[in-house]
Amino acid sequence: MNCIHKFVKRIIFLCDVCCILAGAVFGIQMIVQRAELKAIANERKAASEIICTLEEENAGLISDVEAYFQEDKAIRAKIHDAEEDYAILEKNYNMRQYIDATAAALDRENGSTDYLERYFRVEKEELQAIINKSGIADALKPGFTVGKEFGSLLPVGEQVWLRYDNDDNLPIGLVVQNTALDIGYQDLKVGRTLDFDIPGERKKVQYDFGTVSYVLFEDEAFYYYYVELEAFSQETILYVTKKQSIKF
Amino acid sequence: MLEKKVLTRTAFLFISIFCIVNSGLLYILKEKQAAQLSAIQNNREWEQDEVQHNAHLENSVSFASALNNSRNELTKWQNKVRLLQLKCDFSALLEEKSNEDENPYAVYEKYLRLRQGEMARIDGVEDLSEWGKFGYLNGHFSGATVPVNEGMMLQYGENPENVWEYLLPGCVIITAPDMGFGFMSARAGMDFEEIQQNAYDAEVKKGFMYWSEQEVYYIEYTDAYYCYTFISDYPDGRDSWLLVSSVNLD
Repeated sequence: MNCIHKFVKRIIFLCDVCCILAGAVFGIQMIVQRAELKAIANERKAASEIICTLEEENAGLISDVEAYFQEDKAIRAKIHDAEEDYAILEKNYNMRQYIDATAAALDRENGSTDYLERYFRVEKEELQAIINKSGIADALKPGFTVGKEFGSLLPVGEQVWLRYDNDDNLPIGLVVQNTALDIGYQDLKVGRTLDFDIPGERKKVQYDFGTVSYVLFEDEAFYYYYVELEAFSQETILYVTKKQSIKF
Repeated sequence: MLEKKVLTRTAFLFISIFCIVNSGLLYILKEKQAAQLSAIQNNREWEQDEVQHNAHLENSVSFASALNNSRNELTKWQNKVRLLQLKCDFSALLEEKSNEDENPYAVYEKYLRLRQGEMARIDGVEDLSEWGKFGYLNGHFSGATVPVNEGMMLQYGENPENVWEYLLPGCVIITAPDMGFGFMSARAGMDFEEIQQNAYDAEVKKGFMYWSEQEVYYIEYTDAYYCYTFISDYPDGRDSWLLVSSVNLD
């Protein structure tokens, strides 16, 4: 009996020791975990503060982004409209160019000067009205310099200008730099060089803006000046003037 | 002695019970804490929020730049349109000046030389079903038409469906009264009395378009180059339109 009693006592004692050890281990683990929890809580607190600040900023940004989206959508719609307008205009322009080229070919075929004559019927006022309406005529300004004594040059097409005297409503001359246009004395195209392509006597005139070399041709109605601007390029520019107008 | 023994044993018993209960409680608390910690570590939404927020910031910066690009693109297109509009206006002005010529050949021949193939290419059509159609005078058929100006179109004959590269227009059709095209001073839109006053007396003929029952009335004039036919749905000639065709084609 005494032996059993001793055994039970030892068992209980062992159990107590185990419980105390387990409790100690658990206690240590809890202390470690509490430290981790505290660290995370601090981290979250800091993060929450950052998030709060960022959210406030973001709210403003989101409304900005929405405004950007709306504006971009409106701009895209306008670009789309402009592209459509351009496509329609391009067809119209190409058709006008085709009609123009056909008229020039007919003129050559018949030996008439109707094609050139029409330029000299363009009144300064009506041309100026078209230019003013567009508000973009600077894009068609000549790339070369001419002096004030030359009068005013108004664009009437791509690289084509009409020269107006200050007092006259009708042009006194036509300046052509566009090599695609079928304008010139017989087969002499604009853009050719004086010494190699254009026969004839080269003459020189000194203007304020520089020296001008030219070769002159004439038919029944017009004078054709193939002009080389020294400061510009060796390629010629054609200046056409009616015989009754003042000379170059 | 016995009491002391009982007290000692009872105390040991309580200590044992306390140790067991305490270790059990500590275990439960530790497990709870571990679960809490694990949940926190797994749930890191605040990090994702931060990432998303940064993404917003980056997007907004790139969007502002994209918007700027769009604005530049729009300006570029608007300038292109304005420039092309200006060139079209110049071309229209020169064409108008060319049409002021008193010689009808200089006015109409350039239109009657416009090849169907080139016109179709310019208009971006591959078959003529995309163009309009207009009936022939005293004919049951119609020819493909393409507008060249407001109130002015070209009518091509022959094959009504396929584009023929070198086919030339059969006639110019003028429907607008204020274009300045006509014969002498007679213009499209005038009635027959006005037409005769502005040109000269000519017989008003009865004809048809498409089918015999659809009657039309017309006056024809001719000069060295062209035949000018003023056509109307009405016997008095109101709302007339004008056909200009080469004399040698009739």
